[in-house]
Amino acid sequence: MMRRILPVGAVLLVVALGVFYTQWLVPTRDAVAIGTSMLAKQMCSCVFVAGRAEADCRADQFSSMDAITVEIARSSEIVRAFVPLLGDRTARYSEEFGCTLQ
Amino acid sequence: MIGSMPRTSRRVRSGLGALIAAGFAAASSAAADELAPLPSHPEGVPWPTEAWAEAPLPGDIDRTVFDGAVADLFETTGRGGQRDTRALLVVHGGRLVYERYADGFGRETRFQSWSMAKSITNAFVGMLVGDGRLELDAPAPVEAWHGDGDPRSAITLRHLMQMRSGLDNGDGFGAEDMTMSFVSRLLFGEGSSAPAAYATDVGLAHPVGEHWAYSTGTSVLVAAIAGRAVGGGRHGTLDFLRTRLFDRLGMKSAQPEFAASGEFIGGAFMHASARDWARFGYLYLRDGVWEGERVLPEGWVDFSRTRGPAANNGIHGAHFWLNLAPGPDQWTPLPGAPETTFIAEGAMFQMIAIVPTMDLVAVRLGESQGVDHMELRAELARLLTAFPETMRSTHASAAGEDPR
Repeated sequence: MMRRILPVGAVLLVVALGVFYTQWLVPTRDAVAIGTSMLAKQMCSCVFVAGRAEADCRADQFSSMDAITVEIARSSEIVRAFVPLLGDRTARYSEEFGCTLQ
Repeated sequence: MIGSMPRTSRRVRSGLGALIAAGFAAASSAAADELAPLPSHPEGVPWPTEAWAEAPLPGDIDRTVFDGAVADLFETTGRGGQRDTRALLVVHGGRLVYERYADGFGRETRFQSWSMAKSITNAFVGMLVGDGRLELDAPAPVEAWHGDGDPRSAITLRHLMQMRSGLDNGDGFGAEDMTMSFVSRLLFGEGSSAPAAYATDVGLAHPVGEHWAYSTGTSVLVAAIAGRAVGGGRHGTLDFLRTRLFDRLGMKSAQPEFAASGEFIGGAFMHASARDWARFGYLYLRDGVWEGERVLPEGWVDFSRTRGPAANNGIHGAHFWLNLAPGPDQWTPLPGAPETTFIAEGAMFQMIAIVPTMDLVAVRLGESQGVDHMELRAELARLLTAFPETMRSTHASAAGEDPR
C-alpha cells in the first residue's frame, strides 16, 4: 500500500511545487522586482533631488508598495528597497546626474 | 507650421530657417491647416532668464471662476495629508501673475516630470534637427533596425516623434495589470538598466507610420538617438542640454536623470522647479525663441503642436498633447479650454498648458492620490477659461482624415 501512496504523493508534491513556482513565485518576484526598483528610484529622487523628508516621500508612493522596506544611506547617497528573498534594488544619487538605478 | 502649409507664424522665414521649415513641411499631410499664431514676448517686459517679472492677475479675468478653480485644485489631499496640487503657476503676457505652493513646497522645490520629460526630449531633438545633426525624415539612426529586409528600417524620426512608428512598445495603459506593462518593465523591470536597448529590441505591431500608440519606450529611444548625436554618454548629453537649453532659459534647477547605460531617460525622468517648468513652457509659447535668439529651429514648435497623421490619433502632436477631440482610447486633455492649447503632461497630473490665444502658460505640479484625473483636468481647464482669449482661436488638425 505504502509503495503505491509514495509515488502518488511525490507526483502531487511536484505538481504543487510547479503550480506554486509558476503561479505565485515567478509573478510575485517579477512584481516585487518592479516595485523595489520603482521605490528605490522614486525615494532616491524625492529625498536627494527634491530634498524632501523621507516620510513625505514615502507617503507619495503607491500603497501597493508598503510591504517593501526602504533604507536610505545619506552618507553614501544610496537608496535600497527590498523584500527579503524576493527582490532587492538600489538607486544611487549623484549631484550631477540625479538618481540612477544600479 | 512644420506639418503643413500655409504657416501662420508672423515671423518671416529666411535662409536656413526657411529651408528647414520647408523640409519639415514636405513630408507632412497635405491637409490645409491653420494654427493659432504664437504671440511675441511683450516689449518692456524682461525675459525670465534671471527672474520672472511679476504682476497681479489681470483685471479682466473672471475672478469667481479663477478662485473657484484654484480652491478645487488645492482641495484634495493624499496619503500623509499632503495636498495633491503642490504648485500652481500662471504666466500671462510674459509675467508671472499667479503662484501658489502647498505647505512644504516652494520656489526652490524640484518637481518631477514623469512624462513631461518627453517634451524635454522634443526640445533635445529639435535643437539637433536645427543643427542639421538629425533629420526628421531620414531612417531613424538605429543600427539594429537596418539589417537586410528589416521593416523597421522604414521608421523615421518623424514617426517616432509623432508616436506612430508601429513598434510594439506601447505603454500598455488599460491593461489589467499595469505592474507588468511595457512601460513598467522598461523603467523598473528587466529594461531598467539599459532602457534604450530594451525599447529598441521590439518588433512591429502595426505598419510603420499608420498607428498611434503612446510610448515611453519610443521617447527613451528618441532621447538615446539624440544622445548619440551629441557624442553619447550622460556627460555629453547633460552638457548639451545645459548649454543649449537649460542655461539659456535660466532653468538652473533642471536635473535630467539617466540610466546606468548612460542615456537620458527622456520618457520619464527630469526634475525642475515650478518656475523653471514655466520657463520651458514659455519657450514654446514664444515659438522657440528666447531673448531674440532661436533655441528651437523655425517651425519646430508648430510641428510639435500639430496632430500627427495616424488615423487613431486625435490629440497628440510630436511629444506634446493637443487640446482637441480625442481618437479612440484618448481623451481631451483640458475639456473646455481653448483648442489652441498644447500641453506637456506627466503622470499624477503634471502639466504645462501653453495657450497661444491667451498668451498664457499654466503649470500644475503634484500628485493625484485623492482626486480623479478627469476632475483635475476639468479644474485646470476651468481656471484657464477665467482668462479672455485675446486672439482668434483656430487650430485644425494635420491628419488627412479626422478620426473624430
